[in-house]
Amino acid sequence: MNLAGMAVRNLARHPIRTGLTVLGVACAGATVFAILGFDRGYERALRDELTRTGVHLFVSTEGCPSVAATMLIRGGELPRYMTDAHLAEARTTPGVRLAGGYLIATGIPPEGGGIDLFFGITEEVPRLKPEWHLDGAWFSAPDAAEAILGATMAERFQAAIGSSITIPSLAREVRVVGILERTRSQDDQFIFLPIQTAQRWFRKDGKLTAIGVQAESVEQIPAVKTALERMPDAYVVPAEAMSQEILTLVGGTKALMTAVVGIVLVVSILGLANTLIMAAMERRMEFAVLRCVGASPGQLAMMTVLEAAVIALVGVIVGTSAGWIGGGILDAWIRRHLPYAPSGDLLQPDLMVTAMTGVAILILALAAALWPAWRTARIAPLEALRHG
Amino acid sequence: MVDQAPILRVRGLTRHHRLGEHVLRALDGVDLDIQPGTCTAIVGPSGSGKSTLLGCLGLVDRPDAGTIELDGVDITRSTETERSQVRRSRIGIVFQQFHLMPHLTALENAILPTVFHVAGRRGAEERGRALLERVGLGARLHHRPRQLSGGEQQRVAIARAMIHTPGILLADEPTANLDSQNSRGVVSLLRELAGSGVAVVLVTHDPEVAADVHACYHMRDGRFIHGG
Ligand SMILES: Nc1ncnc2c1ncn2[C@@H]1O[C@H](COP(=O)(O)OP(=O)(O)OP(=O)(O)O)[C@@H](O)[C@H]1O
Ligand SMILES: [Mg+2]
Repeated sequence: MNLAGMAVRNLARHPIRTGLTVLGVACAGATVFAILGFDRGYERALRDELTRTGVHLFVSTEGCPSVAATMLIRGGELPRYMTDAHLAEARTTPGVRLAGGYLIATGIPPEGGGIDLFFGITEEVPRLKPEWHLDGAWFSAPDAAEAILGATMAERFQAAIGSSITIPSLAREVRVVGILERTRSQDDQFIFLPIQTAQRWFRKDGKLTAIGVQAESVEQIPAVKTALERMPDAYVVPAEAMSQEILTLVGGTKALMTAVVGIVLVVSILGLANTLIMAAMERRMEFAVLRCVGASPGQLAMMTVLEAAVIALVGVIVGTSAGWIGGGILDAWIRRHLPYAPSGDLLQPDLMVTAMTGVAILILALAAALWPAWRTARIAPLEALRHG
Repeated sequence: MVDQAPILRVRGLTRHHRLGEHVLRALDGVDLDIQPGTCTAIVGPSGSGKSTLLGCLGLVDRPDAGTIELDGVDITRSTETERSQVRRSRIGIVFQQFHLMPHLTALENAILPTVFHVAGRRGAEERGRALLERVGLGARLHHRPRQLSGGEQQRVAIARAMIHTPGILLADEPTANLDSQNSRGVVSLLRELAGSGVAVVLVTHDPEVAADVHACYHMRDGRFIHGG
């Protein structure tokens, strides 16, 4: 038998106590494992999602697409427009996966009331809007007299898919081919038209308000931006604000989770320290005897440390196994509590996360063992000769 | 008595305990020579300093003054680690309360010291078996202490003390917790070990035990009153 074997035998003497302590460490291990896995997984999933979907860059003649939109909504005319030629060039720019054109226009109903907002869109736009859920169908042709309504608009016109409605501000009849599920964004207020229909009706042939561009990967965004900026009259604005905002929101959640991890770790380590101290106290006489039969203070300290290490090791194995197995459940739980969850796996546990969890728990276990080990080392062998 | 170099040579050994103002002289200038292959008894009233002396000889206690030479080497002022090394290779200790590990078998208890002595680990199990055979427990190797009688437990403890074949075996009232029959068994075992070359020092209250040794020292108030 060696010191480690001795440590294991000692732990086996109190299976319930040891088991509970292991369970405490396992809980801490599972929590650390989940948080580390989440930390890596969430950002990766978000990145993947941004790569897969959404607009990375806006190209317009104004510095900011929302300024352009505001000018239009107030009834003003944009001094300059993008053109179909810009769009065609954007589509063929290296590193661009998708480029969609928008034409924003307004209409004032003759009987007054609010302004109608129209959005001429090319067929790429739905793919640039991951948050869209379209009931019904896409336009049959880019010049069809058809509309897709935002949720608020659909309510206002009491429109059903397939029905025809007359839009007073345009004095035209359109067939509603699709209705967007509520997005809780401005899109709910829009009437979407096929791009060429919008260009014709608003007499903006070949003109676009803005172009939305998605790069093939997040890494390529800077290069694509530089390339697009070479087009005449083109201002390119990154749409990163959105993802930054999400990461900030998630940052808050993460801070909370980190605090939870901290508490779980402290509690489980205190539990471990308590077990070790108890074990050391009740074995004073045994330790004194071991000293008498030749154990050095260092060896006894080492034995206590090994006992802690064995508990930590088993705890880490149990905890990370639980993390791997229960990751799906946790994923679902986190998903429900996050302000925004991308579609990829939120929890991406890997060997690195497992190793990091192991190291973290082992270090803490050793910290918990320091004081008990020191106490153990100080027990005088003479105590064994006292009549107990 | 055989006149050869003593394995243990003690001079002026003093151990004081300070209890507030009062100084208690547990050991007060003890001289002692222990020869290999002899059995030495130390007797005396309770509190006379017998255990204190044994503790100093076993390097588990440190004297305040005096010297202890082991095989001619002064080890009085050795470090804790050096003392541990000496204990795990050259000294065996047997206790009144046996002090076996309750969760280990007789054999595991017998080879327990080798956990702390890498060099002694080779062949430890064979030696343990042989020692337990020798103390009459060949059939009880895998029994735990609670399955053994007091006498049997003490014999396991003696096997444990002998596992690294020490030159010195120190026993503090090894028979005090045993009935007379078991007591005789343990004493004859100790005498047998002395016969095989070990220097046995035992503290006892039992006149029968004390009568049948090579040397017997009477202690009172931390001193030997007369030796034999
Ligand atoms: N740590 C200590 N602090 C104070 N006094 C001590 C200490 N250890 C021993 N003594 C005292 O030293 C004296 C000798 O003690 P020791 O244990 O050596 O006696 P003993 O001869 O073994 O007695 P017994 O036959 O009862 O075992 C006793 O008076 C005891 O009270
Ligand atoms: Mg005593």
